[in-house]
Amino acid sequence: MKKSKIFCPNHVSQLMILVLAFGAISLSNAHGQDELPIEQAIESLRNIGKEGKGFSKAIPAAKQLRQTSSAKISLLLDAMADTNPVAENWLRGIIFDVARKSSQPMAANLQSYAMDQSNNPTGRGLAMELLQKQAPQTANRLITDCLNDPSLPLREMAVEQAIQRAQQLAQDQPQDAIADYRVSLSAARHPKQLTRIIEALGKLGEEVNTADAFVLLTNWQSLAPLNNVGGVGFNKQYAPEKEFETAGIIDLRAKHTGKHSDVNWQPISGSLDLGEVDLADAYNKEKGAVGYLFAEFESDLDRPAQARLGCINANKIWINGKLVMQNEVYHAGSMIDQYISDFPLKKGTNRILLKICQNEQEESWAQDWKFQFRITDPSGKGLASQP
Amino acid sequence: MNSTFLQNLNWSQTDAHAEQNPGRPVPKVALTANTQSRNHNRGFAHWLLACSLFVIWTSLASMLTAADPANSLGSKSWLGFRGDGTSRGASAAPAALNLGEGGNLAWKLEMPGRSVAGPIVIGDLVVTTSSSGQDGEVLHISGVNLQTGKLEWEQTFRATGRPFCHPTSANAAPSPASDGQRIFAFFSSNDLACLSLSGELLWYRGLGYDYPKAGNDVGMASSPVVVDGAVIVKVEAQGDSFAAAIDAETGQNLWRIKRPQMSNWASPLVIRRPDDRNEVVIQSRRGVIAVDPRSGKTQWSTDEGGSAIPSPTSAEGLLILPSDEVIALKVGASASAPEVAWRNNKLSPRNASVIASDKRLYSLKGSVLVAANLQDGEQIWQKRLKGLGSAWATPVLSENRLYIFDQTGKGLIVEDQGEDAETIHEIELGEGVLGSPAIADGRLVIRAANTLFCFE
Repeated sequence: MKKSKIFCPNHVSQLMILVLAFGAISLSNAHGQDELPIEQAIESLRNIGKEGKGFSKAIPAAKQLRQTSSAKISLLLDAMADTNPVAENWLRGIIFDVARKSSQPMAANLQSYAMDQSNNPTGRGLAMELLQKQAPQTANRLITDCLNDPSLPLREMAVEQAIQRAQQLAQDQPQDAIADYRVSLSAARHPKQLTRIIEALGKLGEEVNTADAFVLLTNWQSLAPLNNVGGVGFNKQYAPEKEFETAGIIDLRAKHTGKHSDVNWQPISGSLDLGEVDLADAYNKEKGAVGYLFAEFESDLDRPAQARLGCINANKIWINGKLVMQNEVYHAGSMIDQYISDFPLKKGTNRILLKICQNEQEESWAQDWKFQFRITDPSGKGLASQP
Repeated sequence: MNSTFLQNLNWSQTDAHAEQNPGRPVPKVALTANTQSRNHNRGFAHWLLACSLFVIWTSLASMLTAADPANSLGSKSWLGFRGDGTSRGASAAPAALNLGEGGNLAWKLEMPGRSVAGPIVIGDLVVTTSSSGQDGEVLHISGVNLQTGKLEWEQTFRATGRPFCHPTSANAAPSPASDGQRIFAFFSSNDLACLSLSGELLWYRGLGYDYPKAGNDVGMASSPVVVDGAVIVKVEAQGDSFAAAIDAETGQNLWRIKRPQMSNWASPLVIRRPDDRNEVVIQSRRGVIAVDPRSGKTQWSTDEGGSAIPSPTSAEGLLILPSDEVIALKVGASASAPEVAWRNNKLSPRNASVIASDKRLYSLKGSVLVAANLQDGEQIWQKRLKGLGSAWATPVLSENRLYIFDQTGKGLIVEDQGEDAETIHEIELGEGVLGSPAIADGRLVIRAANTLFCFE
């Protein structure tokens, strides 16, 4: 029988050796070639952008970082500084993977990281979150001291703890509960926490005005109704916004062509309790209408700030002539601080123009035409106009 | 290695592929080398060859399994919202649900937040999502052992899009989905996390970060589907309104198409044509389109159908579209638009999607359950379900029993008895159920607002 050249044992064995060697080299390369210094792997995650940008590098980097020793977790927590929220979540996921697989105690490292105010606020918040899972009693003790912490996540945890403490006191020691709530009220930044504290104080007989607690801006000049039938008004540049975008000012004496007749600027105020400015009430429940609102805000210094709007109608906001926010959404939920935009507050007079658009939906839940607005620092602390 | 393996050494890739993908055109590559090897009575060569083939075979088997790992899970899987899209369990769920001592509650587990999403089951792993925090901005994905109820792992993220929603809903509103290898957890804030079955982060997309005007503050709820290596999401809102396919492996967009700028909470549905081509059905109040999963190209469209809340259903070659009426389209073999088989304006569901067996469909109209013949839409019976409150969760079907829950946590088991129906069991879970339950391995897994229940 003629020997097969293909299946000669020697050839087969040589072939197998080659295959195995090739496999070994490939496996070795799979681990060795792609291995990056940890800083570089972290950077691959921090460089993630929109629409999957950077994923081709981030996916193998994440696989590598998952094997990081928990002793190096501070490097991953550090990487959460000044990056975008999607990259933050990649890091968060890897940190959870590392923590879950760790056989080493991590509590001391986490405590030290969380309580060091020189570390980045997001990383500190996550360190405390992990500490709460690993050493809840220690974490709770530490959180108590974080009511005025610069890290918003830590501050929020501390306020939450204070609210719960006050809730437990409310029945038997109402005065102590009130004192705790008052402390929480000044520390709280999240609108939901502020609202809960205001409600709890109200139940204890301590009336706190929402408009005051949030420092809502309640005194405005309004111009309405202008036409928004069929939604045409949202993108139509009526004279006031053209004037504001061009010159950064509003002539409150000017008369404009309204939806039905000429319209003038006139004062309008927010409700005393909630600070809601109700255009539907002021303008006879007009539908298919645009309303402009104008206010001035005095600041004693240049500082970064946020415009925060709660509004169930389509809206635009300009500050000092520049558009800072626009949302063409009608009747799809509303709450205080629903929309937030950063802007630079300048020393002296800042001019604010709002455009609030009502559509023509007929459902009973689609009749509101109102808003709540405030200016805050970047942490969410309400700022008042200086006299 | 076992005898079956040795007997099967002369299988060709073609054979294996055909078994994994019946009816699908198969590649012509065949492994014939082992047949030739019989001509050589050389033990060492055979040993080496067997080893070599074993390596190749296991690799191929692994690749083929990877191509459709969901198939291998059989009745131990419920891989997305409404399982395979019919809400029908492959295994028999328990005929009664008893919480008390001696009852059939296998386990229950407190979850880290609130949810109105349904659970999914991948083999012995239950996956459920939750949201917590002041605005529901903390996103949790939990992996729980189906048999023991033990928490296997948990991942936590922060919403990158808008987390706000109506108080009855939650950021954890869309049900997760799986291809059997990976988990795709989607949230109202349009965050999409891809995890391994061990809970490791594989990739993360913030669609609300990518497209900041996506979503609405009432809350989104459309659940993703996974097909042909693509995760299909439907984000229909007044702002950035779109449907998109994300590559399951890379997390990159395969395509993104504009959708009507109006709120819609219905989920996409995968239908398979008789020639095994998959299409994704996407509905809005302006009608329905079917797109190719990999390219996003529209295959056909219709102005028919188009509810804002109930999703389409597919069963026995019919596509059931909910709207002011229920319309059944016959899905043929060609790429042409399916034709209307029947329509019935008495079957229109309120919130829950239509449920289908191989012969019947069921529609929940408030507290009235209606059964109809699947092939002609003729109503068979209707039953007012005493005690059932407002129901959002799509009921699930096992054999002839429907499991129906309302938003207070009251549950009914309704038995279809042919010409009529009867409520054969009631239960109070004590907390609302707004997500559709899962049936797998003879168990019923229910996600209530803050607790995961498993009955056996």
